Amino acid sequence: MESRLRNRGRLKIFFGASPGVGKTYAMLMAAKSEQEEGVDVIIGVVETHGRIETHELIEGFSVLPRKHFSYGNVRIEEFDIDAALKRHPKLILMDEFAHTNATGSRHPKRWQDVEELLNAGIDVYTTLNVQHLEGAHDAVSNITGITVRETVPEQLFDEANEIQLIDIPTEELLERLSEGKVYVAAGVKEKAAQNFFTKTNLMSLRELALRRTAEHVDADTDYQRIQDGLFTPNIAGDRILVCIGQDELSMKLVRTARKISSSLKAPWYALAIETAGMDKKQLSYQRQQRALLAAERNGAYRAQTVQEDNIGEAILSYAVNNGITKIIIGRNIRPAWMDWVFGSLVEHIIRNSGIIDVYVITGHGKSHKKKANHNEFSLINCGWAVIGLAAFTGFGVLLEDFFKPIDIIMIYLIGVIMCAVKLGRIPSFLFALLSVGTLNYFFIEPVYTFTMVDGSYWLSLAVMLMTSFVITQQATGLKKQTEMSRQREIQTQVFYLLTRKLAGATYAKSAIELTLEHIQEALNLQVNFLTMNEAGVVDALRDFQGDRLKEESVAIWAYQNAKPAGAGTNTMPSASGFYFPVIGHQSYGVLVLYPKEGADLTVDAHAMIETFVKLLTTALDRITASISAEQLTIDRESERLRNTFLSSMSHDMRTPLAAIRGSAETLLNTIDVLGKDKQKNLIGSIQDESDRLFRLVKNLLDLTKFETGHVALKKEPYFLQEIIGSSLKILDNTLSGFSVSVDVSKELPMVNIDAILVEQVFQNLIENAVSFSQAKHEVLISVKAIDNFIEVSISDRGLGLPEGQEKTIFDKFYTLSQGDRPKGAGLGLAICQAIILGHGGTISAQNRDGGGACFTFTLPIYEERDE
Amino acid sequence: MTVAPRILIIDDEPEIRQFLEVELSYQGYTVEIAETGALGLKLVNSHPPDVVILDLGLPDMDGKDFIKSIREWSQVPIIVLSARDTEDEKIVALEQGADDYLTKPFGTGELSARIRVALRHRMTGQKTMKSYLRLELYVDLERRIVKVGNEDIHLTPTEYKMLECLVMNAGRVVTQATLINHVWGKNSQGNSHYLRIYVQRLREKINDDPLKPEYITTEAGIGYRLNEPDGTYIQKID
Repeated sequence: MESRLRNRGRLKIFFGASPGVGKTYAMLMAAKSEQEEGVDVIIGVVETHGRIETHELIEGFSVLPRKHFSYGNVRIEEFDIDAALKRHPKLILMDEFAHTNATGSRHPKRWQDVEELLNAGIDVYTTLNVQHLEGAHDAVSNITGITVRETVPEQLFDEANEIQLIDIPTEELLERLSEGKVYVAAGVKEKAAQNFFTKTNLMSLRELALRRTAEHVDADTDYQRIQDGLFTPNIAGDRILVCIGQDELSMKLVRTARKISSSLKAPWYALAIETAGMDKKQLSYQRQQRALLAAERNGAYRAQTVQEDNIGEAILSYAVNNGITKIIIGRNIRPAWMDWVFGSLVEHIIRNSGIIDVYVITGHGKSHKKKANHNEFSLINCGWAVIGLAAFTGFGVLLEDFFKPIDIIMIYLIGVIMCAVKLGRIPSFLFALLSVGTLNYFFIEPVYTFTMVDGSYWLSLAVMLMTSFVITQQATGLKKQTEMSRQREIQTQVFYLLTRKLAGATYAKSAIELTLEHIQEALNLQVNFLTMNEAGVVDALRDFQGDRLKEESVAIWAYQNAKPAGAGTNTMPSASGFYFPVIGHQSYGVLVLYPKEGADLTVDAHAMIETFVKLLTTALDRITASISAEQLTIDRESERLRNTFLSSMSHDMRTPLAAIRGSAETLLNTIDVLGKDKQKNLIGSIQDESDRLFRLVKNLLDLTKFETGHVALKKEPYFLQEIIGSSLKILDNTLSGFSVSVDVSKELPMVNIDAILVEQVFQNLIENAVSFSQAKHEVLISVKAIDNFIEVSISDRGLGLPEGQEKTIFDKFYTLSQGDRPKGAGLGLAICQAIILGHGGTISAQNRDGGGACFTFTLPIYEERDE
Repeated sequence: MTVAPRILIIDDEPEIRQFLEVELSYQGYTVEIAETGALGLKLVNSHPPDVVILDLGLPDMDGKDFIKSIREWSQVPIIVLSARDTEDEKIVALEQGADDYLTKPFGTGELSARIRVALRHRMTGQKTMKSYLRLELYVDLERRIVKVGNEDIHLTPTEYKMLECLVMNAGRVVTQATLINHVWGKNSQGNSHYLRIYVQRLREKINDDPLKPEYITTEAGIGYRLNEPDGTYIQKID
């Protein structure tokens, strides 16, 4: 919070009791004096409403051009937030804080634009009437009888750095009004305006405005005193809990809680209880969710839903667990008998709250609970209930001779239970009601009439009916509870499964893909993931939905502001996706969900997404950490290689160079004295050493080409015999004195190879065999087809390989140490390996029985379709 | 008395020029030097040489363009020198009309063999040879005779065409594309798969072991070369 405040721009609100008091004028005057002091001021939005004084004032400022766009057929002008952020003035003027932006703008409300500007470090001047303050909403509608739709969260007002009250006496305002100097929004009926601008209303509003300003000043001093260490707020340690129900009171409850908590300077909690059988598609449920979101937005310390059937107990235990000192609860006025029959939640809480204070807010809102069960009603199930009834009646008729009617009533109760469990509440009630009639008709004397001789049966039937209702209530409740816990179980299972799978993921991409799959399955929604950096979207895992350009801009906003955006949020709600930034130790990108047409994500879904994203970021953090650790190892490894390379190179290049230079110099100096034979020796050594140098350079260049990936294999079909033939011809001189035997079957199929490179492999391996040979000068090449490969072995009777180094010999710069006789830079085998692997073959080395080494490699056989 | 054949060396590396000049003069040729492609072109024009040795890595012009422009008015044999990493350029150069190539670093033996072959083609006044004799193998293109020792060899038309192409260019490298065009026609889609199979059959018929070829040498990745016929020295001095 502190750091956010430090970088945030300053907000000054020019606050008034009603339109026409001169807020805009005052704002412009204040801005003018700032500008005169050299502050970079720009007008974001100022409505002149045709007033000449205001208009003249504006001319001294630069005005940000409006953004034009069309929505449907309508061309719309709106504040251009991107341009403002780009222009980044020191101070921007944003008239009418509570303004609602046109659909298609980034934020639905201007105050959200202002928030973003403040977050970007831009100072903002704005204007606000008291009736648009969310916390004043109830008071204003009481005073004026008008419900204000455009409201600004109280929190922003409280957090404003400065509130300047623009106050003129009520009489003066009325005078200005009669002179037509006050703008009354187009479309507002004259009568409504007349109703609003009455002297009583205006006086009450003025009082309200004065009080809110005073409270703000109060808060300011508190803040100052806290800074100076003179004051500890909330000494009482109050914590307030507001219980949000599903009726129309819920919003009012949130506002009240905010008000009380701000005057007590106490943190507040908002709690919604979700009971079994709650239908999430219901309006009432959505109202509850909205209230919860509003609480969160208005600074509730925590706003959450708890799943519990006993609402009273749930509230009390939550309160105790969270150290709540005050509970705020709503209560609709209803007939007393209803409390008496159904019990009252409020009574229950008050009776059991102990030391916790309970504040009850009343309202006349209708409870919408009744409607909640309509979806349980199913004609088919009712039909089954009737069929069941018929079956039980038949059964009853069979037993009639053996049992009294009172016993048969008991049998019907079994039917009620079965209906309740299998078919639901309504069919069960139906069964119970119909069974009363059936019992009377079929079993109670006189039978086949709806009358009865023995009046005591009325009591039996009434008791049966009551019992049935109770059973039905309990059984259906139980059923739903089971269903709910089953769903919770599934949810837990989903998270558990994902956690386990993510633990095995080694690549970021697979972790993201796994998470997407699980979200898609759990929420039944289309999803996407955008890998992003500061510049924008780098990569989308799935296809974009909606207008790509627009959707991307939402993604960028969510990424840069580290806040969710898009559908269902306050930022660009018209986007087709909901964008959730994925941030762990670093920002990874944005998760996108595409909610179904017209259905916002529920708080539940939000909670699930949050959990999913948390799991994903943990996995991504882990993966990134291990990758960077791996990178570190690779870096170290290549550092080691570089060192080996340098020492190996300097040795291997210097030796032949020294020999060449030395021989040449000696020749030059001794040209007249040295015998012809000795001269010949020197020249021979120059030739040999330059050959050696040439091989070294060639190997080095080849390997570099391979490692930088600059080698494109030019594959052609060849008979390997041809390549062996040409290799042997090239090595003619090297092989003098050696016996080379080639064992190859005549019917050998062709291989698909880059002939020049494979020739190189043969050359290197044969040269290798030659240079490590000892007394016995022989090289054996054998070629045979095995499955889809041709296998080539090149063996010698030389020194053989050191035990356990059969693999390492293919490493770069590996050389067999043989005293002071290094045989090259250890590049030849590395190149062979690169070439063979590049062809999709394998290469290995082992020692031969009876001494010597054998190198074996394979190459894939050519198939016609290779071309 | 015969006039010594004139060889034009076009190379920008002084060391290479020096070594070539010394070696070739010693072998009895008249050597001329050009440091740039432009000068080379001028010299080919003013003093037509018998053989041109051209480095493909000239700084002032692309070796392929050089060959192309020379081929517009002269059939002088061109031997290109290439570094190992200009494999592709080498093939293009051959297809543009260069007669043969040498990969750096090369030995003097190889060099003189190439020059010998080039000169023989030059001296006979034709670009192509009509007959071939080496060891046991005798080919007479005019009479369509192929013999190994005293035995007549019967070749299929495809095999014969292939051998014909190699004989006409005896001693010189023949690229795969040239072979395929000669055997199957200009517009045939080159299929090196068939080429290998026919070369294999041809080798079998003329008794040539691909592991130790006496007649047809494989130039990996480039093409084939029918080894120099016997008795070339006699022809050269002629």
